Amino acid sequence: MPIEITMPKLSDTMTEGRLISWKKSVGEKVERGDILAEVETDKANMELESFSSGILLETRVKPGDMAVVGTVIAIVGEAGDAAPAPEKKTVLPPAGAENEQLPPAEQVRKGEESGMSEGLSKTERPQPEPVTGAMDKEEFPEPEKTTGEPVGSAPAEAEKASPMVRRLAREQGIDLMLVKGSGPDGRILQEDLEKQIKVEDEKQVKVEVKVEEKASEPEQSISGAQGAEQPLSRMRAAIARTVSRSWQEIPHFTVTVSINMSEAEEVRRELKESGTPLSINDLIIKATATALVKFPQVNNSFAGDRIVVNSDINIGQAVGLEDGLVVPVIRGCQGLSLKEIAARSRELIGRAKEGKISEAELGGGTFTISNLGMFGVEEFMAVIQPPQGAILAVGAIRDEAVVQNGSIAAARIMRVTLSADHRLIDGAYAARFLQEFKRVLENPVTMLM
Amino acid sequence: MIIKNLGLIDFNEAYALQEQLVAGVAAGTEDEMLLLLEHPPVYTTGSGGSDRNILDPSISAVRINRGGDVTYHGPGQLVGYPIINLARRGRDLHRYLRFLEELIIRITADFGVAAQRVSGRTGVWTGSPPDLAKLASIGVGVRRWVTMHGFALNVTTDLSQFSRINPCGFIACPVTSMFVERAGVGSLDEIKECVALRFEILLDDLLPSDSGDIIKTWR
Repeated sequence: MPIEITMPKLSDTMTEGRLISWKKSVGEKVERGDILAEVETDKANMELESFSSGILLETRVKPGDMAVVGTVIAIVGEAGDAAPAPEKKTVLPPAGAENEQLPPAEQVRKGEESGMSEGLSKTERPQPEPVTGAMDKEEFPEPEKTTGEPVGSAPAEAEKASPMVRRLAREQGIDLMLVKGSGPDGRILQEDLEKQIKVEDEKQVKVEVKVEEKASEPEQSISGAQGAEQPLSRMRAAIARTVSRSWQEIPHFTVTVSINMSEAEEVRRELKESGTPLSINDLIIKATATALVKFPQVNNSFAGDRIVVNSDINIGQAVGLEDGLVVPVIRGCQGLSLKEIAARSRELIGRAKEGKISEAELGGGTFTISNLGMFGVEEFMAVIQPPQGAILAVGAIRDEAVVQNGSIAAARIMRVTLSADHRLIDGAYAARFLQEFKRVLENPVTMLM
Repeated sequence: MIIKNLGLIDFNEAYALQEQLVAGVAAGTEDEMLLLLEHPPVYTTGSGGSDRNILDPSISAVRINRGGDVTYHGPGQLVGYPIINLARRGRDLHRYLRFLEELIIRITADFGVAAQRVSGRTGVWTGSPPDLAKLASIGVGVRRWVTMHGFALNVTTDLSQFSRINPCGFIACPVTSMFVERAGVGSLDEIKECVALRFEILLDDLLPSDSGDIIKTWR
């Protein structure tokens, strides 16, 4: 599938950029990591790196010309590719062309595999996962080297399907176990897969109608009325599937508490001054781990007919990237000191942002923290990542007037909201978990011991 | 953060060193760095610069991977090349340019020279519109979000050299130096020392390293 290269947004205040020069000419081979072009904004030039391999098929902006951020400036694809095809279902992406915007939901799906559906996960594991932006070249073979051939050993007990069909299935987030093959020996053909995608899409539309009262029209006609339709990117498709499933299956309830962070901020300042770099977020992770030790049910996973008791506390934190998000996981938080958590977190987030994180570091979470405080969000509710039992949504720390001992005082208040799976956790238990979390953060010295 | 005083160093030699350091910082094998130096006389131009801005045909400007147009470097000019990993500092090129401006404005203020930004004309200027004069030029190149090139602050620079070009692409753009603005201003070494003292603190202040806070770059 041809990849569209767009004018990057190199600053919050950048609206357009000037294309200075093309470093590759049309028809030339492009390897992932090669510099494609040089782009200027203000008095800074950025070398534009290619995140995919293929052939530079087309350039749409001339050197010296301005282009609005987000507009397509070039196309990279395979030799036979023409213009980018907007129709996702009928065009088979040739191996080798990787979308630059890759789904973060692989790790979400990994989460599902870990506890709930061992049978399903087996069918996927022997294959290379799609290369996400967060993965290293070294760990995952370049797709073009795999053209037409399965990588490594063919899946032993898996369904019969060509590598092409497998690839398409992965990209669409379709489980081949669920697809009936109509080929010889039950081999799954591309048509079978497309049928299944259609079925899933229809399900999707039905769910939307059910959930949103006002959604009287299926998506197609809404977008039709307004003009253009947009195919779901792989990332959006995977996210849509995961959150719909979570929202349909998990009876969420939420509990919110406000926490006085004055002392936590003080501790952070003091540690920072004494040379231990620490973020408020590290304190939140540590406090979460402490509270999870006391209230272990919040750390459990739901597995249909049974509850999985996780002995390790593996806390994932949502890290936003330019084109998506990943949730790197700090494992074994119960045994880590604040300092260790801070170091590990710093390291993971740093690598996550540089796209150098391995898939192993994105899986196996038992609890997730999502922080939107830096956007000034006061409080919000997050959707649980199956099969986890809960997720903590953290808001901003703000100056608020509080009544203390009968008089009004200023305090640094942060609100957190726990979304919990009611099948695993009851209201009072969730409340007690938050009470402990609040106690720890309001007495941060306990975290230093 | 490592701050290196390279003294007087040939442009191409410093360029090669920068290339090497950028690769190291991008790979995580080198610390972020600030190189402070002077160049022997040389004209350079940004990769998008126009040759029409070189008025004297005998000049051959080195074309380099930075933003901006032609400029002059020579003795008496404090050149700073920060090798900074913006991937960890918010990935925002404009903010980085504003940081460099702020740094120079504070440094010149330390030595009693008032300077300012002019919107739409990156660099540091003295005077007030329309009588502006350019005190420092800025031009940056970024590879894998690691910066190279940087700023050039005229301290006792021979300003006549600028008359052979349209500095930064502006016709008849007046150029000034700290010495012109205030005779007896500190020496280049003193100013260098001041930059070394201020640089990291201001960088962390304006472009904090975000490895500790989550979802900062979520858009």
